[in-house]
Amino acid sequence: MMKRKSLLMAILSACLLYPVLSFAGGASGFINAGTFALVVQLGMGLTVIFLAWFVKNVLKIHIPKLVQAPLIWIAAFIVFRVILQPPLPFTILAVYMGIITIAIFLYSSIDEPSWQEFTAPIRTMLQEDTKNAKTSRYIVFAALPLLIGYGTYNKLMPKFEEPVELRTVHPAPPASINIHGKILNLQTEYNPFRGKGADGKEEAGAQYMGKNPFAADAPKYLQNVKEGGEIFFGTAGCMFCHGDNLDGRGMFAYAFNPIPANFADPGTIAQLQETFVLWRVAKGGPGVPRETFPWASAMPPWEKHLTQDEMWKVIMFEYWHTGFYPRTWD
Amino acid sequence: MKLRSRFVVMAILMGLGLLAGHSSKVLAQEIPPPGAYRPSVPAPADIAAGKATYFRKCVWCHGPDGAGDGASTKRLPTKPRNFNQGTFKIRHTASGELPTDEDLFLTVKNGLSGSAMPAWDGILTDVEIKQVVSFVKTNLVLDRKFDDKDEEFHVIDYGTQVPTSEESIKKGQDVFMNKGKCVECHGVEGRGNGNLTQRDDWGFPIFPANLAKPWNIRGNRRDPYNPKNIFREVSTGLNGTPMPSFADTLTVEDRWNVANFVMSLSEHYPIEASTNKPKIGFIIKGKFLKEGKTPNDANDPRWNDLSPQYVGMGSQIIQPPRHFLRTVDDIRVRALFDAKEVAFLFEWDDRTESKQDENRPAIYDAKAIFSTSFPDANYTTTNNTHEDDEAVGPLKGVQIPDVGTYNDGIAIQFAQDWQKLPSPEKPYFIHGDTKRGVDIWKWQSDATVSELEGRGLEAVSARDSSNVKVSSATWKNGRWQVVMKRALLTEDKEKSAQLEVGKNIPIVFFAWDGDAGERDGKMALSTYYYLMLEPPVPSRVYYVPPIVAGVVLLLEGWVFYTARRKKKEGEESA
Repeated sequence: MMKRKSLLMAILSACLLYPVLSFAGGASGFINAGTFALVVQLGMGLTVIFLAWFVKNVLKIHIPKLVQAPLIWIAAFIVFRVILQPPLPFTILAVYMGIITIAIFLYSSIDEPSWQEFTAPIRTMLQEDTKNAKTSRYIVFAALPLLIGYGTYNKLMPKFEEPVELRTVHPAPPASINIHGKILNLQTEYNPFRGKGADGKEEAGAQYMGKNPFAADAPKYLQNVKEGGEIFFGTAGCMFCHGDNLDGRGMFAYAFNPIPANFADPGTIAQLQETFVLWRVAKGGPGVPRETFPWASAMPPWEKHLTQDEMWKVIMFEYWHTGFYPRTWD
Repeated sequence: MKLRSRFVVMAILMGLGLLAGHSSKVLAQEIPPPGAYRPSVPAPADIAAGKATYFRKCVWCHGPDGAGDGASTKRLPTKPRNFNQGTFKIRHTASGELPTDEDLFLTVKNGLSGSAMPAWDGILTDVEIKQVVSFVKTNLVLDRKFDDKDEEFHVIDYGTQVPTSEESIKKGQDVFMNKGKCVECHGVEGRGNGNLTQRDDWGFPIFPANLAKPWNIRGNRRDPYNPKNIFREVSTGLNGTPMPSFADTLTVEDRWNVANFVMSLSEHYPIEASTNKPKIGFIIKGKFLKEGKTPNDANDPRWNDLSPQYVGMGSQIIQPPRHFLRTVDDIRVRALFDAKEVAFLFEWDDRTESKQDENRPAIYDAKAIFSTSFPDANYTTTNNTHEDDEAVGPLKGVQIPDVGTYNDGIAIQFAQDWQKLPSPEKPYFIHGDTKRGVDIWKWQSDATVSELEGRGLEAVSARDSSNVKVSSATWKNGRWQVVMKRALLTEDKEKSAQLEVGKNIPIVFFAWDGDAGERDGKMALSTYYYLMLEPPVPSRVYYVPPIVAGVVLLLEGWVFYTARRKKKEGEESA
């Protein structure tokens, strides 16, 4: 009997540790992030085991098995849902919690004495007539129909929620676009205002980040950035939607859905080539493919308001302000 | 031992609970102690660091010399602060005095909601904000010096806060109407429609705050429903504006009462933290009327069964002609329907009741402004907030002259044949596109009601017949209330949207303020919402749950009986 119990304990612990280990191992940089996470989580697990021992042997509070089971279940849920980062997808969470549930039931029912101890409170409630038993019986027998009745009411009540519409945020760009009669090949075009760096390639502009574009002796690169900023904040008025910090929190952002793009987030312009950004700026909302919802986008088609040079300068300004570099081919 | 150990466990749990509660977000409303105050002297290293931050983040609005003449000024109706004179609005110091360091810190950190000044909290660290403030104080405030011995700083005294109550609000109303005469500028319902002719220190038109929208009040410090904000602004006055200080004319108690009254003027919508505006739900729910016909005016008590839904509006700065000045920043919508028709109640704040008139100058569009503060810049008009003056590229030279005042208006737009649209496709939200048309129900303040077909902003055409009726349109105390109706189903199935019950119908809203030069494509607009005309609740929702509960009771009885029998058998066999 003891052997079976310990075997089950081992399986249960493996169920708990498996996701921890696989997550830690799968996370990029096994040595840095993963190992640290692993250590932290093992530490937490040991703390929980210590707390359980402490409660049982030092404080001598006896927790009935019927209560231990949901406590373990809740603790496991907290670990998977809250403590493990980044958050688990729901399907994986469901699988893990399913395994935990089965493991808990197996553990409780592994042998007759264990099962008897587990179901003792239920039997007491049904069969005994002591004051406690009667009270618990009344409470449970009243609560169950009420809860199930309420649950049925909730299920039957027609709910009208916003339809779920999934939008592609980064659509595939076209191979070429036509701006003001000029055809641009998006795979070969480059921002003419960046100029060439010391290595003969397009100037990334690292040495200009954080420098003052209004300084009297500002180099040409920064003068272009300054003009781009004056277009962003002035002529075009991009900050009304995209915000003064280019984080999508402009004065009108609250009114629109989808919300304006957050350039300060590493998931937007930092991931894109400059020609992609030019396409989005020039053609605006109406120019995106169906999966990106052109009908709902408040992004203006800037070819109606700006020249191509102005668009390139604005894009340069956006990268300078956010401290990002456009994605390059190499 | 058992009892004591239980106490120990309880104590540990309570301690953890307290810790968790403490770590929750603490609202930043730190009040400096009242009385005399001396600002700190910034360190040169901080000033240099602040300068670097300023020329990355702030210069684009506030300008390289801090004169409020940055690039954005030409598009903003409310200009960025000109620091040179040392005139600051939101402070804890007495009228005419410079602000404290904390005042400037809080302004940068929390922003000035309702204007273009964002909250820099989370973007700049507290240290960076202090450095930028140091730079502004030292290098950009030119006409006054913070360390000048003759500069006095008297921080106001908040006294004992009077908690809000019916009595306090009543007293506050008396202060608002009679003692303080706030009503003369802010209007009877506080919508800022009292005095429309005022200018600020720099000569620009300035309008009294709309107190019914506390999230737009500049100094709300991202805490819009806190009466402390009103107490402070009434006590200090807003330097540079016509808002005076009432510290000498109203007692502390008066000021708390009027603060409580002002807080009672608005609907307290839950606020979305990231925008500091009311939370927006994208479904407009219409309620079914079992008896009677749809209401004819806004006073019908049946409207009170619905809570007005907040719809956010931006300016139409997307398609030409662009217009930056929108004054209607939200509308409140309610919908009721019976078997035949639907009625919408639109309510929105508008300081002016505008009607088309070539000869009457629009109040927001004041052309004859010359600002002595900006001698180098060509600020002869605030009309730069329209696209036409700065048209570039392909639109260069296209002039749409603004003449006088135009009509106020409101419109709701449906998609033609919306049932046939392959989800989630819809017509372009700004009046449709060539592929998909829209059905626009539009009302204007000259009492014209039209049903328009839109195939793009350039192709909006009136239709011969209109089933749309406006049964009442009243402007009172700075607010329009319009009741618009139409039959749910009409004859022209192709061009008129057929409204079906229980479906998500895509809609868009548009609004025009004639005194802001708005008409046709120059307007305020919303994004896509859904109209859901909720069918009455089916009766099975009410009788099925008790039946189910009854069945559960029966099952319980059976389980109980079985358990008892088992026990009896166990005892008998033992």
